[in-house]
Amino acid sequence: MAVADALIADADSDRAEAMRAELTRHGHVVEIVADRDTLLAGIDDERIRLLVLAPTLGAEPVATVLTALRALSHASPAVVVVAGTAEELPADAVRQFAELGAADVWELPHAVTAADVRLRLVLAEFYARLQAENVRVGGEFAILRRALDLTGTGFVLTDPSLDDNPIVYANEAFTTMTGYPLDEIIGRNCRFLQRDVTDPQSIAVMRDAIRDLRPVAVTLRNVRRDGAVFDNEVHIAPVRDERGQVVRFVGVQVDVTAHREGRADRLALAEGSRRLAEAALRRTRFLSEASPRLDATLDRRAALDALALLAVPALGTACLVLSVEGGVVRRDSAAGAGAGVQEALDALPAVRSAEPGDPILRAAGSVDPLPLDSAQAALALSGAAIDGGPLNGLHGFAVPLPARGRTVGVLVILGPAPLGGDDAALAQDLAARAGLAVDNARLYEEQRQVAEQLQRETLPERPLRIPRASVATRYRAGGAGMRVGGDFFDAFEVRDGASLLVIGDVTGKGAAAAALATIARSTLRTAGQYETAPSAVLRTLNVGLLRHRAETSRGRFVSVAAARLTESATGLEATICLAGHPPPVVQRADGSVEVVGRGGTLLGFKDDPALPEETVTLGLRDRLVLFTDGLSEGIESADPDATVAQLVSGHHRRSLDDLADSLLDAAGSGSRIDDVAICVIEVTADGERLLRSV
Amino acid sequence: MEWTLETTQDDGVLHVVPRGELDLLTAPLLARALHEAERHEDRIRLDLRGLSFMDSSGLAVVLEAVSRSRERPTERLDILVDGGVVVRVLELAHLMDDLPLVR
Repeated sequence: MAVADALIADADSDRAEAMRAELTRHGHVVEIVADRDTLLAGIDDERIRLLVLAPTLGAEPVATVLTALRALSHASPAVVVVAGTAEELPADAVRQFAELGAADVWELPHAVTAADVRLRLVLAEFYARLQAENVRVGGEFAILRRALDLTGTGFVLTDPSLDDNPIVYANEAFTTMTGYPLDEIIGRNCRFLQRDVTDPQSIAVMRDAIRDLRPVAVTLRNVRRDGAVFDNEVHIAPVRDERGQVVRFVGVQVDVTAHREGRADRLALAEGSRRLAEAALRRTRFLSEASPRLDATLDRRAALDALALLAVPALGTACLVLSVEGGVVRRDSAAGAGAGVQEALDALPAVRSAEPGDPILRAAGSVDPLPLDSAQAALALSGAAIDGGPLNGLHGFAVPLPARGRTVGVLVILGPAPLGGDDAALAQDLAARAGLAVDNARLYEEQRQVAEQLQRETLPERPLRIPRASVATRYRAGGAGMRVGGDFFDAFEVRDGASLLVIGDVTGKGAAAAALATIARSTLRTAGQYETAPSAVLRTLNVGLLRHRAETSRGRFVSVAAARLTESATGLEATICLAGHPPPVVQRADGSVEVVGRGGTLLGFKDDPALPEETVTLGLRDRLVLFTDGLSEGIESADPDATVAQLVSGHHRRSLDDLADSLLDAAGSGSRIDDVAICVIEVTADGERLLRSV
Repeated sequence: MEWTLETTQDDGVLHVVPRGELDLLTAPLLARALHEAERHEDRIRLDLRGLSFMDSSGLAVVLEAVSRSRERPTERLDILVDGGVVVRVLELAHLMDDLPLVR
């Protein structure tokens, strides 16, 4: 007996047998198992390529089984599918299955039989989708070639970049079905199967769809190599690469001759199935395009815009994304097909109040799409009737955007013709994807706001004030996005009435660094209430950091330059104390420049840091420049401190703000953009006070 | 200069050798390599001679490793330097005399 390569776990033995028959026709060797343990034992075999699970297995929900499958360390390479009736597969369950790793969900009619064309179409669509996705991820057949070659359904791939869109791949079933050997198929356009028995109208439908790069399903009367006529149900879908270019068409052929020759109602059935299959293909294509575009953005606004643009014109001529809060409806995004519709949408009120019974409020409180006739559509758009214009008389529906158990908005899609159930289902699928994307963007925004809030707290709220000095400060967090820095500066009065100017840098980045910078800054302020010497203030911070380390077993290190400033008869006395920090630069009124301060120990590492002090006298118009190492590292140079001194000396007689700006610019000129903080003070005449800060 | 990180064992000594720029992006990689090395009983030699850049994030990883080593009954980490950028950073931090440096 051949070794099974597919397992069906379904207690409904009729359905299991029907699927077994169809999968066998596709070339699989199928084993049916009825309980979880047999299933788990059975998949401990890498020869299993396909697992088909019923929505419940005995008393056990399939979600548990999917979870168990994922937990197996020797994860089987098999493609896992959940198959059941529509009643067994509510929308939220389908979503859950997908999240748990199911590759597909097959909706099969109750009491399906092996001969049922719907079963064949569901499987054909499944294989087509696997094919399309496989091409999308870049491998033509790396993973699924074997599965495709096994199938009893005909598959071709055509390459539209080549002349006349020829077949570049056909599987064995296609050669069997048509009677042509592979070398007579490859390189030819599919129309070689057509003869004068083929309905020209169906050919035109197919041709137009291919020209317009749309998916299509038609039934064509084709002719085999031996002259026999067969009815070929053809599903064609474009396959796009990551840039959205159509690189292949995938064609799925199902021989439906037997069904056509049966009872007349088979035709109607096939017609219905075809529409279903077409809708499914369209949905697959649409969502596979939508998801990366929605997921790519972490900006809520951009996610909303992407959503609106995706829906138009695929689903309707006008799309709005609305948020609802406390009886107020806010338009977050709107997209219209064509300038006229877009203008009309943009002219609608951006915010409006909603009365009870407003369709948007109803949609926000519901789970399912809410159909909107033209009167309700007008209400949904503007809260009032619409008189003329391109928005008049549109129909459609309002779909809630779900995310994490809440509704984060309402998607409104409107078109001139009443939109069908398929479109509602498609919009609902899109809404599920979009809701999550929008919510992710919201969470990201919240995090960023928290980070920015923290960042603000690392810096003083008000401009620095120092007696007898003008002050200019600059600050820039390195990098883009939500990176926040660990640089800080501050100036405050200490116990004996002197001012302490501090600038510092916490190791690391992000919210943790910003939080520690905030703590460092407030610790220095507090220490200044009890200590007068800058070295004593820094020592207090060192003790705090070591305690922090002992409590968290994670070290954080802080470099600080502190300058204690006291007024003298001629200007300011500055007592400089450095802790692992680049030395400040003094620029004299005459333009000469000197580096001041003696090296001291980085804070947070040892109990007894060396913190020598050095006092310099600053006369009228003398300047003191303090900076963080972002400035010296940002300037690419072998001796960064000398470079800062040089830069300062080049800005003699320029205003304090000009100097600060030039230093900030210079810090951004290197290849490495770190955080930068800069404080520049200039001694002013007694009584004169200039305050500047940016 | 491209970032590389090697750990090799040689006669009871684990050599952890980062090369390139030790900064915000690469510091976590070195931290992980050091934690991994500390799971073994061997001595660890951190060879920083191949670094072309080191910022405060990199310094923090080195200092944390030194602190962890000191909390053990016998210290077993030393750091190989040969001047240049690493020494400049350590001099700025005023920690040249406080670390187990080998020249």
